[in-house]
Parts: sequence; C-alpha cells; structure tokens
Amino acid sequence: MKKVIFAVLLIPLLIFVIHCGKKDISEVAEQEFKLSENASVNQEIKKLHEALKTAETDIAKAEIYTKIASIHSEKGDIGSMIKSATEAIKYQPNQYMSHYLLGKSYIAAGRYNDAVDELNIAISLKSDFAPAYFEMGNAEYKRYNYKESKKNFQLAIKYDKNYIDAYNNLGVVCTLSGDLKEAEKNLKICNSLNPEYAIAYKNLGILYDTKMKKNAEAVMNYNKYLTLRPDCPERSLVKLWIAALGG
Amino acid sequence: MKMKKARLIILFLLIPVLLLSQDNSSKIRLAVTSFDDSITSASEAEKAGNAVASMIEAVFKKQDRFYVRERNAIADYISTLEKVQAGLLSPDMMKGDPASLKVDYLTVGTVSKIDGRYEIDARTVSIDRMFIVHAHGATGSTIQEAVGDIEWYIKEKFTEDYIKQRESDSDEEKSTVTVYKFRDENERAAKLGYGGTFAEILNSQMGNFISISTIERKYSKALINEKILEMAGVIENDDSGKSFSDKGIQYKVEGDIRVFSDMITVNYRVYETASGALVFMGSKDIGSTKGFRSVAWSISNTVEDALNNRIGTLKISSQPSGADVYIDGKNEGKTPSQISVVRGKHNLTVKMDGFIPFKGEIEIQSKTVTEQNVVLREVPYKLFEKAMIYEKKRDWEGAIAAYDEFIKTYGDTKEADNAYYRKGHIEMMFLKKYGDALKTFDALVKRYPDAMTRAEGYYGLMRAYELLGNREKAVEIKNYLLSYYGETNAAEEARKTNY
Repeated sequence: MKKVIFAVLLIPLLIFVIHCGKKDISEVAEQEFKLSENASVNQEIKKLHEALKTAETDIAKAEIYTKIASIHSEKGDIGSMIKSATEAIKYQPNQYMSHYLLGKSYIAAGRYNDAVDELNIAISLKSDFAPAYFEMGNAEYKRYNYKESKKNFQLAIKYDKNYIDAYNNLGVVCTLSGDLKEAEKNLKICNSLNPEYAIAYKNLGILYDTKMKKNAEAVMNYNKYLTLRPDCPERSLVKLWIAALGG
Repeated sequence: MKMKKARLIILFLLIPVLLLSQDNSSKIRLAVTSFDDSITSASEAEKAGNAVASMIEAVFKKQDRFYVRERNAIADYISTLEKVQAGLLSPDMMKGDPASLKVDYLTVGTVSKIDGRYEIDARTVSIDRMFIVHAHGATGSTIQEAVGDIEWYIKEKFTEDYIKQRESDSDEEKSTVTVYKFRDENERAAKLGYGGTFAEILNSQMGNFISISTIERKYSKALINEKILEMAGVIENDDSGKSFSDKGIQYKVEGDIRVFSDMITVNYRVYETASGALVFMGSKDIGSTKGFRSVAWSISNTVEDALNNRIGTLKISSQPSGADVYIDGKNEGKTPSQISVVRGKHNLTVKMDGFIPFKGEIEIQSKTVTEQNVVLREVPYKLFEKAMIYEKKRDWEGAIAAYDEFIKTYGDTKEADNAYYRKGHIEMMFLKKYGDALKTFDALVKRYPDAMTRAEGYYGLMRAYELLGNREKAVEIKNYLLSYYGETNAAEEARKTNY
C-alpha cells in the first residue's frame, strides 16, 4: 500500500521535473541571440561603430561606414547594408565601393532602377571593377533585360577572368535567351575553374534536360550536384528529375 | 436462463451505444500521411518518415475527439498527393473532397536530421483549402523525444474549440501567406544545407497564428515549377509570385541562410505576390542550429505583426514621374511606385532636380492602399535672377539678402547649392567677411551636393581658412580636395596655391 501511495505521489513530481527541464522557447531564443552577439562578425561591426565615435574626418567616417556595409553584405542584412552604404556616400560621394554596395543592396530590396543608377556611378568611378558589372548584370536580369544583363556579365569576366559567379549567371542568361551553346560553354567553364561549384552542375543538368534533350548528360550533372550538395533544399525534387530521365 | 436474459438486455442496450460511437460527425476527422524524410540525407537514410507518421497517428487515436482514418483507406488520395508533389499532377488535385474521403483534415509533416538532432514538424491542414489549422514542431535527440513533445501539444491544444476558433473568423479579413523557400546562401551554408529544414520549421510556426491563414507549403510548393536555373548572388526570376497570387495566396515569405564560423544569420523577406513588392524584410542572428526554432518563432511573430497590424501600402505617382520619394527622410525609390510603409503618420517628401520639393504628411492604414499623386512645380528662377542682378550692380548686401531668401524658400532644391556657393563667394571675395564665408561653404559641403559643387565648396573653405590665417586647416582641406576631387576645376585652382 505504501509503495502504491509513494508511486502515486512520485508521478506528478516526475512530470514536474521533466517539464522544468524543458527550456521555454523564449529562453532558448535569448541564449541563442546572446551567443550571436558575441560572434566575431558582430563584434567586428560593434568595433567599427565604436571607431565611428572618434573618427574625425569625413574620409575616415566614410571608410568605416563602407566596411560596416561590406560586413552587412556578407551577412545579407539588406536594411543595415542600405543604411551604412548611404551614410558612407554622404561622407564621401566619390567612393566606388559604397556606391557598389548600395547598388547591390538595392537589388536585394527589389529597387532595380535605383540599383542601376548606383552601379553606374560605381562603374564611372572605377571602370574596371568587375563586381559592379556583375551586380549590374544581376539588376538587368531582374528587370528581364537579358541583353544588357549578358553584356554586363561579359564585362565582369573581361575584368576578372576567374569570376566564376559571372560565368554561371552568364550561362543562365544565355539559356534563357536561347543561346544554348554559349550557355553550355560558360557553365562548363565554372566546372573547370572550380570542380566543386555545385550550382553550375544543376544548371547544366537543367540545360541538358529541358533544352538540349541530352538525358545522360543531364542525369550525370544532377547526380554531381547532389553529391556536392547532399542536403540542398530541393534534393527530393532533383532525385525525381533524375528518375524521370531514367537515371 | 436469467443470466442469458441479462446478457441479451446488456447487448440490446449496447447496440445503440456502439452505433452512436460510430457517428464521427462531431469528431475531428483526419488522416495522417507519411512524413517526408527526404529533407536531409541523414533522415532519408534512416527512412524515418513512415515511423513518425505511425507514431503521430497513434497519438491522435488515443484521443476520443479525433476520428482517424487509416492511411490505407485513403491510399488513392495519398498517391495523388505524392504525384502532385512530384509535379506529375495539377496542384488542384491535392485539395481533397471531405465528403468522399470522410476526413476534413490531413496531417502532413517532415522529419529531418541536422547536427545529430531530429527536427519533426507536424501540421494539420484543412483538406479542401490547404490552410494550416494546427501545427507544432519539435526538436529531439531521438525521434521519440520530438514526437513526445508534439503529442503533448496535440493532447492539450488541438481541441474542437481550437478548430472552431481557427475556422470561425472570416477569411476575407485574414492575410493569406505561405513559406516559399530559404536558400543556403554562402559556401558554408551550401555545404551544410539547412535551408529546407528551416523553411519547414518556419512553416509550422506560421501555422500557429489564428489571425493569418498560412497555406501549407507542401501545396504551395507544388504550384511552382522548381526546374528553374539558379543564379549566383541574386534570387531567380521565378513565377512563384504570380502562381501564388492566382491561387489567392497574398504573401510569400522567403529568405536565405548564411553560416559563419560562430554564428548563423537568417534573412527573411515578405513579398506581396500580386505586385511582387517587398513588403517587409529582416535579419536574425543565432549562435547555432539549436536556435532554429527560436528564430523561426521570432520571425513568425514579426511577420504576423507586420501583416496584421503594421504594414500598409503607399501607391505614389508624380508629375513629372521619376522623382525621389522620401518617407521620414529615408529614400524609398522613385515615382511611380508602390511602397510598403509602417502604419501611422509619416512625413513624405517628393523631390526632383529643378522642381520645388513636395512636403506633406501621410497617414497609412494597415492592410490598405493609400494613393497619393504629387504635382511638382518648377523652381521659379526669378529670385535667383534678382540676386544675379544685384551682383551685376555690385550690390553685395542686396545679392546676399536675395540668395538668403532663395535658400530659405527653396532650401531643399539642388539650385539652393548654387545660391550657397554664390553667397559664400561674395562674402569672401567682395565683403571680406571670411568668418561668414567659412560658415556658408561649410553649410554647402554638409548639404552633400553633387561632386562638382562639393569640390567648389571645399575650395571656398580652403580659401576662407587661408584668409583667416589658419594655414594648417587650409592645407588639410586642400589635400582632401586634391585627393578626392582631383579632376575638378576647383582642384586645378587649389594646385595653384603655394602651400
């Protein structure tokens, strides 16, 4: 009898202990957000904001804001990127990098016309700056202006022969505009520049599968893509594409 | 004999009870589909989907309020569902008929495994409209642990009253949203592949809100042709916005994940599907993948708040078009455009070179479109010309008064830069008021005009310092001018100085 009473009393206690052991989602959130505050990338931003307080000249301020914008660009934090790049331009209107960063952030914010304006300024200030042409290619692509997009990716490659992202995007635009041989050539250059550059394999797969009807090549490229990115978000779909091609 | 009679009576009494128990009309009628374990290679290798579905099915069966239809009984429908998701059938086939299937809801879900932990998400969706009526996701070091957590939520929260509450509100007033996709953006993220799992977690979190209708992403994903080429550094020109809009999905949430050595950044964007306009965006950092559910919880709260309470649309046009739009001092693009604005009163400025800026106050209501058309008037040059006439007459005080009036009246125009420059020039060269000139040129460069005028402003500053006897400061400004505006006429003039 005693044992039964003991067991009955113990069960609620156990449930209580288990429940207390589970962390509330807001508690986990707080811990995780705190951890990220101390991460090196955010510490770097913090240091740069501190440096702004003592920066005396407009040039110094502009340089710091440009560095902050670059870090936000790496993080993909578009709102902060626009803010920092705009500040940099206020202090130093003739700095190509801040115009480039502002243009790049405008693309992400869907402000394609503004992006083109800013990237044009960046290019006028530094005419051999390949990343500005690359982003211009992206902005024109988003405006469905494939001819201009192609031209700008080609210019990005002209100024940086190893610009792998530019070859990939040129390959995409060539595919969309029906220039299939050129598309294949550019995507294959990606493979030769970096055999582990996964998206070019996926794009080649789609090119062979949907446009050139080369099933064996398509399957080979899809498989290579999955090998390089086994946990990509569309993995189950790619498997279905392979299966549909008899792979 | 008596015993036999008693048995018969009991049986007689039990028949209606048994018959009544077969009446499922008052119960929550659902079926559980196999859980998708192909989100990550680790979960797929374990083939965990079926096992999890069976466990969830057992959880429902334990509760009297549910009528759980066996998966086998709706095998044809499940098979259709799989074909839709594979892109082999039209997405409309996914919307089942409750009468023929004898279920009103379908429980779908995913199992993925990242960093050794299981992420299990279970969502129950209305079978005819595909919006989520109940959702819960959990993380566990074992499948049992995660399912145990989901079980608690089903037992405690998934009630008839809850369902009634979810379905009673008028759908017309609710924003309809779906979680589209999260890209693994940087190299580290691409290798680790968290995007698929995160999208599922966010989908479950979004499905918890009563005030918005979250369309299950298994359905919305099926609306999209996924065989689209992948661009580097920019989101593809896909047709998801139109496809969603055509099916009544007003908003889509998408984003990207970037992994750093000691941190993960999740960027998210909310788009209005009909116009393609970005209505909200944000960025969240977390220390590790352990924070995925926390960050999804935080993002879903922000998105819900933004869609329901905070965001309205400003549809702005101007004559002439192409003018810059500023809301509370922040440049928001050029006219004509549709801009998402936080609810409340805002200062609106519309500017264009050669025109008097429009300044006014706008009030934005949430979930409504506020239209504003602005007619810009050209800057009248009479006042500027008056100042020039004073200059010609060498009436310096008269010219300065006229320039001051111009600046006061049209201070926000580009033309006011010239007025500043002319005023500073007169103060320095003709009135020899170097202190005043210094202030005027300083005000000019701080207005951030175009490069040419700014260079002229620095030249004026340099000369004013020189004439005030502050040679050190003059040299500093000169060096700055030569370094950054070296190709301007002002720099050319500065080079002629002997300091």
